[in-house]
Amino acid sequence: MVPINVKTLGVFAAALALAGGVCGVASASDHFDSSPLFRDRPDDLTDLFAFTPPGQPGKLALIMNTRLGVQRQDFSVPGIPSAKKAVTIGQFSPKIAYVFRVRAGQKAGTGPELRLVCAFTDASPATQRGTCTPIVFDEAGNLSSVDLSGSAVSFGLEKPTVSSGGNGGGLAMKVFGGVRADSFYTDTFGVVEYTQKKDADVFNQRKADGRLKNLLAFANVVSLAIELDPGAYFKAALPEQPATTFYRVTAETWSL
Amino acid sequence: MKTKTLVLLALVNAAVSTVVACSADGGGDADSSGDALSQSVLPARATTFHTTPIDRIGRPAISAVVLNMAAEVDEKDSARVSHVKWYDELDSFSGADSAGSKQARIVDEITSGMKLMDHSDGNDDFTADELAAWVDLFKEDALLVDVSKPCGVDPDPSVPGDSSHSYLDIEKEMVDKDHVHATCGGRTPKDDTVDVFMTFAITHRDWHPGAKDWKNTPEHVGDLIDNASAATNTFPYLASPHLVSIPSVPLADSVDFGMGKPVAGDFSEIVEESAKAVVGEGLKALWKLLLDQIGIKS
Repeated sequence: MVPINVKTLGVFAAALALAGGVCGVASASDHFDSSPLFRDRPDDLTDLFAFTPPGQPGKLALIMNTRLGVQRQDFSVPGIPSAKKAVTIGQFSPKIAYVFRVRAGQKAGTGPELRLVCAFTDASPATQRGTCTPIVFDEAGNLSSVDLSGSAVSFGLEKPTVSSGGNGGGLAMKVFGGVRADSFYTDTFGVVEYTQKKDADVFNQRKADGRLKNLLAFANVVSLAIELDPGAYFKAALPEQPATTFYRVTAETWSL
Repeated sequence: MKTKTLVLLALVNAAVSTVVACSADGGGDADSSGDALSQSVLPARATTFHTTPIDRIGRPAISAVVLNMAAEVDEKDSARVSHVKWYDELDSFSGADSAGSKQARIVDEITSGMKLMDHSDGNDDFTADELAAWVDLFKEDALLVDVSKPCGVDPDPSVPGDSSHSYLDIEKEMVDKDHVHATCGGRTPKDDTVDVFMTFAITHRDWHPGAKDWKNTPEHVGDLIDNASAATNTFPYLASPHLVSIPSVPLADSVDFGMGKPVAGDFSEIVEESAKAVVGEGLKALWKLLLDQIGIKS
């Protein structure tokens, strides 16, 4: 564990708390636009990534990030027992469902859907467990009669977990939930200035003025990552469905 | 000192969603401990086809840039907040709300925002038909991926075509028949989606390394912050959390911010500079107070 000086923590946290407060008004990629129902924004999705994993054609990697600004459970301040509790916010909410929705096919508004619904227990980060359950709908929106619950995966935080899956391993799923570095980067206030002034030269001017700032450079997020073979899931649940290599992906949070 | 520290920590806790320090021990190796649970863990609403999310995300920059371009903002920014809020409540794929009354609105607002972006450099580069085709795509808020094509997460610059920039690659093929997607599309963690999208929306030009006209558009449009994140080629792909160490140690010697370049300077100076940059004179007074409280000369 890296030693942390309390003075530094206070300075750093206060500065970025204030920066974060401003960001709440100045939305970046998709940061800080969720419901204000939850004080620490466990429902706020900051980014979504979807891509073919390196060296694994046919597979799909899915990552959703949430809760911009997190502190890991293993942080502690020597001699101040209450400090850990005061700053621990790096986990998933038991009151939120974190959902990936994957539509098969290229054409917008169409296609059957593989839905990966992840819910978490009400526990500390060290003992919290998540469960991601796959379900499939046909194009008309009817739930597939094929039960895929045997391919659900249960996992603890901070450690990648691989389910054995069904269907001869074709339905295996790799899952990770935990704190990661926020990979999004932008001149947040420059984007806001651009949308207000509607002038493409804003960024050149900010660069000339030395005002370019990537406010997310220090940020961490709570990340949920899943890797699977989407074609295998659709084939298992909807055997008559034509195969495709195109998928449309979105992420959602639901209130439970 | 202890009391002051506790006061500071209380401030931190009250400051909501704060980016703070952490240690990182890596993700560890994969195991096979996953155990299947029954479908009873599913919330009942999971089996309802149409959803009403609290928040949702598909393509980046649509709500934060395009819709904000179209939004009329009042002094307190409340108009913008409510404006984005109704967008988040739409179904990601149908673009409809439960009453079906907002589907037309999303088309109008994306069209307006795209027109304003196109005109923001003084030129109108999109034809009406091109604009309509893009709006038709964007009303569905989803990343489009082709898993038969590769994408680089942490690309090797020495390998031609190994690029982390793939955002909108497939969509461009759907509108521009001369464009052939070479990547998986979607979005990778290091993808410079802001610059890719803004270059496209403002100039109607491509900025994907490897794209047909990429070499002709090296001066891409965007926020001018490039390649400022870290990712790995192994699951779960995002880099380990940021590290923070003691302030008396030079930052570059003790801290890895995943930026791919050393960061020079004393830690407190870096943080102070960041704070000053974002909050102006009002914060400077508070900032000085905080520094005084913890015994650092400002």
